[in-house]
Amino acid sequence: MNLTRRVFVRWSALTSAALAVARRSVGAQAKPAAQQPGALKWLDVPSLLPIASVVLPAELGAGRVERAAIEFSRWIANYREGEELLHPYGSEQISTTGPSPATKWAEQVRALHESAVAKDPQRKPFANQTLRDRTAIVADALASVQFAARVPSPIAAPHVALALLAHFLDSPDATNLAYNKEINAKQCRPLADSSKEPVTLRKALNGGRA
Amino acid sequence: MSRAFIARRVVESDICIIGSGISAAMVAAQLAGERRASIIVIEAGDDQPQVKDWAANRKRWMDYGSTPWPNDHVEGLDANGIQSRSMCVGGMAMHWGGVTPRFAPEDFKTKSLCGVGYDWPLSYEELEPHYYEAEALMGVSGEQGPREMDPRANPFPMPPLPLTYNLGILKKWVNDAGVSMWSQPSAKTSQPYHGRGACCRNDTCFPICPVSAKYSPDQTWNPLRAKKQVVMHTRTVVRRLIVDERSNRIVAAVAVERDRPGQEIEFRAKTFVVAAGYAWSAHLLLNSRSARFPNGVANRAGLVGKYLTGHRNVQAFIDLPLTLYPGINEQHSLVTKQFMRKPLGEKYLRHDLRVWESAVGREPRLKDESGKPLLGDALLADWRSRLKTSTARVRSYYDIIPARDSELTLDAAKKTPWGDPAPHLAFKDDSVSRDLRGYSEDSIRGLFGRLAQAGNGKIIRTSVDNFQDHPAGGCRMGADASTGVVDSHGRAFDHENLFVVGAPTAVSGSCANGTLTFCALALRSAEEIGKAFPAAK
Ligand SMILES: Cc1cc2nc3c(=O)[nH]c(=O)nc-3n(C[C@H](O)[C@H](O)[C@H](O)COP(=O)(O)OP(=O)(O)OC[C@H]3O[C@@H](n4cnc5c(N)ncnc54)[C@H](O)[C@@H]3O)c2cc1C
Ligand code: SF4
Repeated sequence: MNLTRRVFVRWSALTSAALAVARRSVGAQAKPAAQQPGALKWLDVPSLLPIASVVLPAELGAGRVERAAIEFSRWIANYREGEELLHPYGSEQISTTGPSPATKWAEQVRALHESAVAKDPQRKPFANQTLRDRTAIVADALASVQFAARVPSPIAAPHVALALLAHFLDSPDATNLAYNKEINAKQCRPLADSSKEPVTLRKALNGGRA
Repeated sequence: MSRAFIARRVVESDICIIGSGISAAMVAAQLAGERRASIIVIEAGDDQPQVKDWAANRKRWMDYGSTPWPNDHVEGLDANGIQSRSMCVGGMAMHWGGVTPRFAPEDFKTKSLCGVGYDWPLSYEELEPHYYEAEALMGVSGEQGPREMDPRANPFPMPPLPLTYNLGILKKWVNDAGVSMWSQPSAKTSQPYHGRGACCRNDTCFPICPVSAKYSPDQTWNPLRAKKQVVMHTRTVVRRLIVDERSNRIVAAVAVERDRPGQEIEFRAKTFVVAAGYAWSAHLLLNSRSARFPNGVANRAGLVGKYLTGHRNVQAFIDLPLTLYPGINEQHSLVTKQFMRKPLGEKYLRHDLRVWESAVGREPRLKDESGKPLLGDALLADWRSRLKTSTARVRSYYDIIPARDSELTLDAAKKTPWGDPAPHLAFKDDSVSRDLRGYSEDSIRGLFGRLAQAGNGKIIRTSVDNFQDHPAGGCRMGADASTGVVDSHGRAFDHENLFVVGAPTAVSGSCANGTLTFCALALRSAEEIGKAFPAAK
């Protein structure tokens, strides 16, 4: 039982009551998040990208920042409520995913945009403001939510900016960047290659161009 | 019309196997291959998704934590104290980790060698050929450890899974500290094997291997069912066994189809094989109460449900001045059997030791020590500052002697959907193990401390899981009816045509993952069961 408990820990965060995870009810059906009208309007890539460039490391490069925003947007769209979770080892409990965070997150994105417009003398939209100004606006928003040092699972994040960041930090791209090596966790590789030291990440992460 | 007048459907076969987990798969594979006998398998749970869906299911698990095995449990069939809800075609081993060490020869005779615990009614040497059969059937890749610790008559079916870059570095560390470790044997392919491709180290063996490099019982059931060598009745729960009025033979297993709960089916057979796992096997025997057998079947000595067994673990994370890259393959480990032999003159302690790469303590964080939020480049810089050293995860399972009242009982307060009492499990250490618990865990922590010191590292944290892993027992084997429910072949002392196979028959849980041993025991039972049927051409 190697990874079991690690994964359990990761996903038990997801099953905690705080995340509104439901105890499985008989006949519960998974429901795509996209069924909630209007929820995804502010969660498309153009809306998320200006947040991504604030919370993700610049060293990642514009291309990968965009990729992270695309993947997060897709993640939200494909979220299903009431989907059965992997049942943890050592427990008889069966639980399911809770309500989609899309509505709450969309509201938070909209609030960022509105506060940007309100603060800017030229009423420039959030996306058109400088990185510095956007960073200040996101920092303001984060000051009003409580979060710990430990990276939560995206679904548990109290703010969409943290959810986007948490989603990225859980990806192989993030670990590769931190170590500057192509570790490529959870991706297929020829067995013999795993005995070699991972190769150094290509410098030109920007847009994936070598 | 009263219920008494509703005719029961009757299904007949030579051999009726109850349960379709990994132990049942071993028995069925061997009997179908070697004997002329009709075989029926009854499984309470559902069929699971087929291989074509596994990559997508894996992705959803990685993205959302969703189970890759939907409906792998039966509503209403749960119990206090069980380890996993998995009840499905293939059982728990649909999402096991595929780690397959053998027990040590000492495990089978702790009483005579160390004066504690119980001797099994069979030796390692008697089980050895069946260990190999199980390894061949599920395709185990492994490295021969030093022969005095790791005796084997045959090489592993496949060469070892190569050590990852990280494990290569960790191996040098433990070797320098005086511990001899090698590649953990696993039911994962180090090369193409019987139609399965080689493992590609994508590291999700638990809960799902998307490419079938890890053995799971569907690999046995699918061809057996396709060739009609077995007929499987899924979504069908056996509620009780019926004993012949004039003899002690079992004549039928009475079951209910979950889709037609009002109608019972009677499965009649020459031989019955209970392969329902460590919890439900004893439950079925206890629940088969009748006027003649008020304590259930196979329970003359009152031993059904007793001596539930397993092992606890002590774990630590060690910070070491090494450069590792966690994420290459967190599920594969180094292993040693060096501590599975009790040193002369010392208190009873036997344990394994495993070492893994780990990302513990290397995670990114959202705030620094002062509580200041970290975003973007600041977060990355902070993360990198904590990657200058690396983490090893070390863990030892230690052997526990089960108490007689480490037991499964029928829970009068909790019913199954069919009105039967649910099982209730309570694992308890025998007084020897209870008294030694502090010593055992301190000694293991001491070993971890010495390993850390030898590598100029320090312990980040240690923990002990309170539950017993790789649960087994409940229908343990014995030399006679006063010490066991079944003999060393799994045959019930009280009913000559009733076998219990695999985990429930184990006498003790050793200090290593148990499933390979459960499978070897099941294959030994299958050999005995087969003797009542003509050889296949
Ligand atoms: C997450 C996880 C990871 C694991 N990893 C490892 C590992 O790496 N190495 C290792 O050695 N072990 C591991 N194990 C343990 C291993 O999976 C089990 O030891 C093994 O699968 C048990 O097999 P079994 O055949 O005894 O029982 P089960 O798998 O429990 O199968 C019994 C089957 O019988 C059916 N059944 C029960 N009662 C009835 C009834 N009355 N009527 C009809 N059907 C019935 C059940 O539905 C079930 O499908 C792991 C377990 C878990 C949960
Ligand atoms: S590492 Fe990947 S390919 Fe290999 S057995 Fe595990 S899941 Fe399968």
